[in-house]
Amino acid sequence: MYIQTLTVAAAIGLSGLAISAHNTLTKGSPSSNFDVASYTDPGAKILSPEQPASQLILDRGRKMFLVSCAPCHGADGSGNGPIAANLRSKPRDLTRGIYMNRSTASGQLPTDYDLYRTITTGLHNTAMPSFRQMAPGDRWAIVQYIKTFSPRFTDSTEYPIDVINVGTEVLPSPQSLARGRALYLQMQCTSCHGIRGQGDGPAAGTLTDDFRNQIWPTDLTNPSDFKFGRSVLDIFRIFSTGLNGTPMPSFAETLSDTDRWHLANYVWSLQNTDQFQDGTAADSLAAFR
Amino acid sequence: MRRIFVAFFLVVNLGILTTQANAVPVFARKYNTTCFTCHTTPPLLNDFGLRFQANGYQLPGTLERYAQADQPSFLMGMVAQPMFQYSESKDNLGATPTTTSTSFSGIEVALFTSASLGSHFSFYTGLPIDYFSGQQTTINVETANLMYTDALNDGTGSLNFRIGEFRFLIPYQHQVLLANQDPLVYTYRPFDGKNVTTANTLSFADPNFGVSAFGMIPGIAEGLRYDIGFTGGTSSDIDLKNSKAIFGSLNQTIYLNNAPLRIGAFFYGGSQLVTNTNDTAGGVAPPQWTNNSSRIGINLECYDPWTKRFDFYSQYLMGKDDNVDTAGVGYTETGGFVGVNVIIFPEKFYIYGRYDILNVKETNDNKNQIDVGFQYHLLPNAFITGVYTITNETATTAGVKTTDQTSTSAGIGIRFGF
Repeated sequence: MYIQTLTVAAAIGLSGLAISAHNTLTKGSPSSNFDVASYTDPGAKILSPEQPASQLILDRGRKMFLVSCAPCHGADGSGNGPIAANLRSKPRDLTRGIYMNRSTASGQLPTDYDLYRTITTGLHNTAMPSFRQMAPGDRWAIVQYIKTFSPRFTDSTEYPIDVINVGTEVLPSPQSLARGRALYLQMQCTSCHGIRGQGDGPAAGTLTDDFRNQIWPTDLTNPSDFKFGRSVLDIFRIFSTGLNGTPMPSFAETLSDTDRWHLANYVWSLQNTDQFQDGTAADSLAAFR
Repeated sequence: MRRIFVAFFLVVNLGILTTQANAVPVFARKYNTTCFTCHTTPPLLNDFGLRFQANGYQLPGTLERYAQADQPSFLMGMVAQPMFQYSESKDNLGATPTTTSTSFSGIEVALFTSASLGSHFSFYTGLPIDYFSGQQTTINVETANLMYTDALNDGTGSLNFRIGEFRFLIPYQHQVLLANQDPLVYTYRPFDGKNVTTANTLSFADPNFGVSAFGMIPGIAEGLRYDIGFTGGTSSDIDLKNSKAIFGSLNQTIYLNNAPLRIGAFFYGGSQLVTNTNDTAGGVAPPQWTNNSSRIGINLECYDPWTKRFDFYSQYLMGKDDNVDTAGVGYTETGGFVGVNVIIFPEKFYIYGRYDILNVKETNDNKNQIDVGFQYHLLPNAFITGVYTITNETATTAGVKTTDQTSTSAGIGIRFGF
């Protein structure tokens, strides 16, 4: 009985310590003054270097970055964290300001929301997890802190940033797939992704990114291999922005909006067995692939 | 040869035999990521995985507030490691003949589930399924605990609580070590072969019932992990009257050129009731006495700061049991291990090795063990594992060697999970 009483008392004591510590923190620590609500709307802050984040936000961003991001990206953002040596897809070197997952034109900086989206969804089939469960204010604070690693974000010549225009969506259909297949061959997609889209083209084994890391073309037939989402819109976005820092180009200047939709429909169909809008099963369209 | 390989592959995939296997694919599904976010290679935890574990099995920097949002539709994960094994046992004194065996030594498939129950509350359970030919299959509740996470509400998870059956956050938990065998100092039990029953069986290789405060304080260099609490001991059935202990661990991480250097220590101290089951004559209550146990361990781990592909680790442990039998004899154990994990090809191929030693002063028992092996990432959810272990045990009485036994085993298997 004595021991049970002791244990319960100890548990209550530990809880009391926790509550006491919590109260102390909320009264005096920077985190207690961090106003999440004041920084949840990215609209006014993206694309604009003239509205730097407050020191409060940067401090919070740094704290959360060191807790959540530094094991891979390194405390200095160089992408050389303690885990990096063991990862096949290397963590981004944040000091270069070069990002793949964007909604902006080729070569340009990402918007704040692009960075926020990557943190939120993660990058599928890589070691970058989804931090959807992190408080939104903390994710925004990390976005602001990440931007301090690269001078590009404070260089006025990098602005304004052009967010891509998605045009008028073309729904998947046999005709769209046929056109997409023709474009797939015409645009030399086969050299990296292979004739069947399996990521086994003749150049596949030779690719490196701007950071001199070896990279591999996406296996377009494998739904798990789409890092940035596998919907038609996700694929269209990549055709429009390109993947900065990799050999994957943007087709925004070489293909019309409509043709990029056709190509996106075709690539989407390679990893999809759903039905199309007209009831046609994707499997029955093998002749178009 | 090809037929043999195919047959072997089919057999192992039927799940005939496992040893420990504790990566949890349910987390990878939940967070849309791969094993390598948390594991150097399963089950070995990397820096992110250690933080994930110290945050109550939630991503570092997060507090999960909703029971349903973003949970995988199927919360159960399964891992198994069927293995084909060859073993040999040799008596170096020549008293008994050498024995050999080739076997699948059993089935153990482990189920895991863990999820948020709402703001601050989450749970974790591990349920190994044991099968031995001719015996009843059992599902055990090995680990089951309820957690209150991020008690400071600052988003860093620096203070969490848990109650239930859990493993101490000692610097090298045996179930997340890459080497195949449990560390000798973790599995040492002074009462083995004594014809006594004890209120608990102290083992750092098994979960314990209790309550603890744990977490990782991020502001101290690259994080101070800790775990401190009360326990009724291993397999105690919550007998807090006859079995009680306190424990604590600290493990400080520092990055040198972004390579982790870890220094830590842990302590366990408690008492337990011991009953002599060999002395029940005449209807008299058997003799009982109290044994006080203590364990103190220190550890050092470092990655090479250049390639970060060599992970060297070591631990030294001292233990004392003051009353092992009715004569009041106490046992003193000393021992530990040194090991290395090497990344040959990232996310693909790994090798490891560990040397263990254990000495019991009063009985002159000495045990040495070398454990080497490899792991190859074959498929997204499957790893081929190869292990080789050699163990030597000696005992001396009055200057005469009474035991000198050498055991070797080699095995190959596949670790897979879903």
